[in-house]
Amino acid sequence: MKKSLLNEFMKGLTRENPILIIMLGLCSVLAVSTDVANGVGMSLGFSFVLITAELLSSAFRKIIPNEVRIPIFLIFIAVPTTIVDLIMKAYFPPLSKSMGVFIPLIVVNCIVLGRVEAFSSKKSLSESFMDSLGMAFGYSWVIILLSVIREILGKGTFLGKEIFSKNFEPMAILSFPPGGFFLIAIFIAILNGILKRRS
Amino acid sequence: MNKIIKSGITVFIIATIGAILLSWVYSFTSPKIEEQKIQTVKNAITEIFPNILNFEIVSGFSNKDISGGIKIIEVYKVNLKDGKVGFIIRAKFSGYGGKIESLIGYEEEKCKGIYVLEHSETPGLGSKIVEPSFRNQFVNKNLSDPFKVKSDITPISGATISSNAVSTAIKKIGNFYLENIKKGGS
Repeated sequence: MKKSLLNEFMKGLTRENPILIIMLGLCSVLAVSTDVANGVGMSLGFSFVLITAELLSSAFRKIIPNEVRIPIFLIFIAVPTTIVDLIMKAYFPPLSKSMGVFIPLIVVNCIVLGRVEAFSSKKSLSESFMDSLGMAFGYSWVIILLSVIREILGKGTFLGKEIFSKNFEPMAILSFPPGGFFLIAIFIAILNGILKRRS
Repeated sequence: MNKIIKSGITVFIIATIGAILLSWVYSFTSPKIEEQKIQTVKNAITEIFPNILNFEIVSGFSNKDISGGIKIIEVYKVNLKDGKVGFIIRAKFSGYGGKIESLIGYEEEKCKGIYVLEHSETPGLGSKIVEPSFRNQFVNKNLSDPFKVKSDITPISGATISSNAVSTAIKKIGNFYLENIKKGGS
């Protein structure tokens, strides 16, 4: 693998992490990271949409007229999102129920349109694939880690099962969006600290 | 002018391909989605009436508004193994965070239980209306009881409004059932 391609993948994990550094699409991150099942479901759905949209926009970048590129990008994003939504409703109804409207809302997630517009519509297929993979992993590790912490401390459960004794009083604030914000802020501080030390 | 036509045709072709792809996915997922919805209702009815034989929709009660902002969506008649008849009323009423949709079971003069299908109550507080610890209070409760929070119903701590909304709705729908359904049905 060429060094530059590996670089496209690695940047999404930390240096240009979509949630902690680019800080786009935080609304759905806060809303669905309340428990682990939701976090994993959202990661899978989001990754599928992002990778598909980046590959499509990169593959057709030479034939898409500049004036109508945004509506076309939206089709590239909306189609895989709707596919994810339908498949979740059909095969994982409890998950689809608890995520509610946030799956269809991937369509307007700024990270996806942002990567398509800023990156994959100008780059080669292999670069776009590595970029989308890196961004998807970067998004996933943050949202899953968030949801693990928020579910264990905020609800006292893990994947819906009680893990503490009856005497444990969960920190309910972590289940609410403000608690999610505090956690994201802590994550950002830690990541910035690590990145500063490295450079 | 040429540019406009070319752009328009490009969008049209891509949108058409997208639509075809989606209709194909929809064609094999939609029966599954319907099945899941029916299965959810079946499971809920079985939870309220474990000795169920079969159930049927009672006509004449769909989408009926009754007092107190309660909307009855459907009424199911449940035939039980002991030869008795129970009723499940599917209704929507207002909670603290929005509408609560639930199935409530009634038999004779009693409430047999409630199953919450959909709600948007506060996570961690009002959302506890789905938990058995709260719902079990209504199982086999006489409809002549007051159904008042803090007298015969223990509310969820920190979610009095949600608890109250559920108990009041069960009582009101129960009265509707006694007056309109029980007489005609059994």
